[in-house]
Order: sequence, then structure tokens, then C-alpha cells
Amino acid sequence: MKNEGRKQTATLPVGKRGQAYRPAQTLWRRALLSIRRDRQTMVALAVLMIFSLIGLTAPLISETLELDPIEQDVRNNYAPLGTEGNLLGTDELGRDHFARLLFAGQISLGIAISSAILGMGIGVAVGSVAGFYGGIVDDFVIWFTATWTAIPGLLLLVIVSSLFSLTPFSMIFLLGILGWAGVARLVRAETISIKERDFVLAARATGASNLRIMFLHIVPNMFSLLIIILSQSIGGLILTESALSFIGFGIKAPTPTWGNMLTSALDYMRRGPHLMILPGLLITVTVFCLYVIGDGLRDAFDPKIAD
Amino acid sequence: MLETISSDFIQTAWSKGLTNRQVWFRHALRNAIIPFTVFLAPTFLGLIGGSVIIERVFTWPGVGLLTFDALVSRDHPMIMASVVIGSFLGLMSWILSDILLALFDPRVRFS
Repeated sequence: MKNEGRKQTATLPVGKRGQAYRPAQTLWRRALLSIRRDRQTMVALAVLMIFSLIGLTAPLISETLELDPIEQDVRNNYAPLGTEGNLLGTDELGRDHFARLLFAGQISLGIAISSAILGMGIGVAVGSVAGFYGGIVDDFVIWFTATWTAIPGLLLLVIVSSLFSLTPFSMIFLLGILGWAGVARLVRAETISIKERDFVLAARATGASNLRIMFLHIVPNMFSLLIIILSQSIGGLILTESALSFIGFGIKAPTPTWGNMLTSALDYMRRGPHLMILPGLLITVTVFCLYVIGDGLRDAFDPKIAD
Repeated sequence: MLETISSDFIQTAWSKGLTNRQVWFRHALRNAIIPFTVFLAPTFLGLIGGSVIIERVFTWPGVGLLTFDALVSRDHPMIMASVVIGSFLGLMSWILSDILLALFDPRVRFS
């Protein structure tokens, strides 16, 4: 190496030719730095990561511990916390509570995250097309989203789920198509303001197609906004799913979700308080973490509120 | 509010020698309330939907419980009526929030 022995500047990274350089202060790098310094957000992120990891590996964990979330053992019901073989006790039908919580987490988190992403995808596509083309397309989208958002979403959700019995997949679909209208409105407004900027003109001058301008130049410029909306809507969707299960219209037993575990625990509150406390606690902690992350992301991406 | 209070015109208001109350209520609050009006309608819609759940849990005899009972007994005309009422209230809340926005934000005008 040519540069060996030469004293290098302490903390700055070294480029290809050996010269020290300072990384560019982009929005993303600033945000990343600010999040890394934000201890609250990091803790929330870590908790959420652990939950998702545990949820993803739920079949693996329950298999190695030889626990089954659906197998019943009625003679051994209402086992309290710390029973041998059933660490977190058993529920009213003697099913292992720990295994049920694992699978419920997988389903609850999975539903919330996928439907948030689905809703966001539809919203971004529709919103950016409406904002970009304007005219009659824009009028139509505005008219449609205004009508769509005037119907109380939860009411619609309750009705649809009472008429059809829901599987986790149809639930994802349903929550996704209910949530896109708000995203579409935001994205449309943002697109209209971004498309007037000079770099869009520059892209057009170099001969970029409309589609390319929309999705490679305009949409990446609102990623920060989208990430914030995403993290908040996931929290909202977990709550919606739980609320729906709570009045008995969500995903039906024996498939466990945090919401329907809470519902069934309500009837046996006296005999097995842990059956109610644990899923409730998990919902609360997860949603709280998501909101903390949303707040942290907003602080990280918004240069105006920076201290 | 945080964003508003750190902007330049608040500084101007202070340096004009306005009182505490004038700065906070007339300058800061008026501008901070604009984003709030936009959130009014979605919140209201959430409350309408939420009433179904709350009234089911506490068995309060309101429109929400009526809707729930109609759903359980598959009373379709009743379901439709409650959705129409809910949507009507939702539409009204959107109109209200638009009117409030025009009221607080002089850049928006009725047309």
C-alpha cells in the first residue's frame, strides 16, 4: 500500500485514493445519525425487531419446545404462570398460552405490516398518478377518495367482516383497501408540489418518460413522509384488528390473534387473569413502540424541528 | 404549535412588544390550528366507527349498538340505514373541516 505509514486524520473515512473525505450530509444520513443518537427510538426499534423476529420464527420455537397452539388438554386448563411444561400457563381449553401468544404475534404483526404496505402501495400509485397528470384523472381520484373517506372505515370493516368469515389473508386485503385513500390524498398533494421543481424539468429535458419521472424522481422524494405514515399506520392497524376481534368480528378461533385472545380471556377474567394481561400488554407495548418510532422518525427527518 | 412558535413572524410579534397573550393566542395559535382542522374529519369518522365497539363493550343503547345488533341478526335494511347515517355524518364532518380551514387559513377561499 502506497499510503502506509502516512498519518491519517483520526475519524474521517478514507476514500479510494487514500484521501480523507467527509461524507455528504444528505437527508438520509442526517436522519440515520439523529435516530442513532435518539435512545428512545432505538429501544423501541429493538423491541419491535425482537417481536417480529420471534413472530417470524414462531413455528420453529414452538416445535423445539414441543408446544402446540391448538392442541387442547381440558384437564390441564387455567394453569397459572410458571407451570412446568407450560411456562405462561394454559387457557380455558388447556392450550399452551406461550405458543398461542407466539402465533398470535405472528398473525397480528403480519396482518398489520402487510396491510399497511398494501394500502401504502395502492395509495402511492393512485396519488402520484393523480397529482402528476392532473386534469380529469385528478378530479376523478379526488372525488373517489373524498367519497371513500366519508364512510366510517371501522363501520365498513365491521359490516364486511360480519358478512364473510375472515382468514388472515382476506383481513390483510380488507384493511389494505380501506387505508389507501388517506395515503393517496397526501401523496397527491406532495406530488403536485414536487413536480414543479427544477429537477423534474431537468429529468424531462434528458428525455425521461412520465413513468420514470413519477417513480424514480418524485416518489423517492417523499420517502421520509411515507416511512412516517407507514410506522404510524401499522400501530393503528394492530389496534383496529384487535378492536375487530374484540367485538367478535375478527379472525375466528382457533387461529389465535392478540385481539381474539383478549376477547376469549374476558369471559374467564377471574379464573385466569394472566390470559387477559399478557396479550393486552403485548398489544400495548407493540403499538407504543410503533408510535415512538413514528415520532422519532418525524424528528429525524424534519430539519425544522431539529434542536 | 412547536413548529409555529419557532418561526420568524413570532419573533417579530415578540419584538413588536406584544403581550404574552397576544403572541400566543392571536399569532401562534391561529396558525397552529390550521393543521388541526384537517384532522378533524378523520377523527370524527374514527369516533363514529369506534362507537360500534364501545357501545358493544359497555352495552350502551346507541346507534353503534343498534348497528351491531342489526349485524348479528342480519337485518339488512337496518345495516344500510346505519351506514347511510354514518356516511352522512362523515360527509358533514368533512364539510365542517373544510369550512373551518377556510375560516382559519386566509389563503383558502370559498369558491
